[in-house]
Amino acid sequence: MVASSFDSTHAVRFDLPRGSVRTRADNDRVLLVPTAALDDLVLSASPEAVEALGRALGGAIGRRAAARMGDPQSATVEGFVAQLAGETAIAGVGALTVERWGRALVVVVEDSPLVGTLLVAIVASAIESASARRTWCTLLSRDDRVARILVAGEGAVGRVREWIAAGVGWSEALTKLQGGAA
Amino acid sequence: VNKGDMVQRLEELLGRVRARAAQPRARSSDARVDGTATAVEPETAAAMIAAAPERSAGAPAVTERAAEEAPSSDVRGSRERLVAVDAAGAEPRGTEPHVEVRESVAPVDVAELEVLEEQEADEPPLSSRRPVVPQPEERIAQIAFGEEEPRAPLHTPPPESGKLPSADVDFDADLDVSGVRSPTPLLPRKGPEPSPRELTAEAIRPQLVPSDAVADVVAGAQAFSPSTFVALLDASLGLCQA
Repeated sequence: MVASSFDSTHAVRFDLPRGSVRTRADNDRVLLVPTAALDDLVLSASPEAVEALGRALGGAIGRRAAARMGDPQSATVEGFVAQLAGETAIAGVGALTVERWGRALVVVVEDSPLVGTLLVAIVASAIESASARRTWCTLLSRDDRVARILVAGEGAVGRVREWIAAGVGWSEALTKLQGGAA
Repeated sequence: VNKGDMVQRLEELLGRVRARAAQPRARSSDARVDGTATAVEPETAAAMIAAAPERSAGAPAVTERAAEEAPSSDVRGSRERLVAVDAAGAEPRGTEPHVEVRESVAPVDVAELEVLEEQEADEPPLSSRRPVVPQPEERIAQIAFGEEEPRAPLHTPPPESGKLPSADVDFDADLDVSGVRSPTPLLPRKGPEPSPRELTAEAIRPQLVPSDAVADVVAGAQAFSPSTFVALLDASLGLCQA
């Protein structure tokens, strides 16, 4: 039974005499990196490099969340989202929540310091690592505080990208996506 | 003098002319000696005398004497003798051939005289009124351009729009002489009409009474309620799959 709450006790351990920072779940050594450095890296790197960086960061988050859940396949929506959101918050990516638009799954990340392209890659990789499903994501909307990311199959993501590029609103695109599925 | 008197005088004059014309030519020769013959040159006279036998064989004495006296320088004397010969020879001689007499005045037709008199009578005197006839050049110009002045061309530029500057009129008009009076006070002008007020919608709101029996739920709003996150994820991944 996956807990519907996230236990953040000793989630990160700072070994000051050794000068290291480690996570509790997998004992991985992490690095505190200024967000400005990541922004510079994303702006100067190729899209493939940004995609690889995001998937690496998100994969670590998803694996730690799955380790907390024990059996992610049987985790409820609330339990899954609680553990995933807890690990995302410890990584400093932002506050993660989930919206359900019909059958479509939309992940909302608030107060994230990362750019949209990097954030999309992190979310996709985190869900994929935690659920053991191949997933595709696309950015629906992004403002100063909230970013909405659609988690769906490859075909659905491609259509939504085309609709939004053609001027269709993201909510209307989700509605059209439901009709296409029916 | 009326026309009848004029015609009568002319007829009398014509009668005298005819009477004098009917007289013998010697008489007219006397008049020539007194007037026109004084201008005849000696050579001309000699030529006339030389030609005389051809015209008239009845004046041999005059011809011979004129031929003899032609070289003389005293023309007056020869004329006096000629006059004397003419006077002596004025009497017709039975043996001498008839001398043809020509009239010094051409015959005058009375009808022409009357017509001339009528034309002259039709002309008004200088002091009388006569119609003013335009000169030929003026007449041509009148026909060509008409009586009025040619109009201004129609393609002149229109006057500029806008307010025209008022003339600088600065004079002290004598009110008693010039008639300039101060304008009478007019009624106060009305201010500019107020612009139409902006239209605002008048909301008509129905009075709705709240009631608890409005909703009649037949079924659940969303039939899809996944029990696990993976079920939700699978449903989302299954969107738009063929």
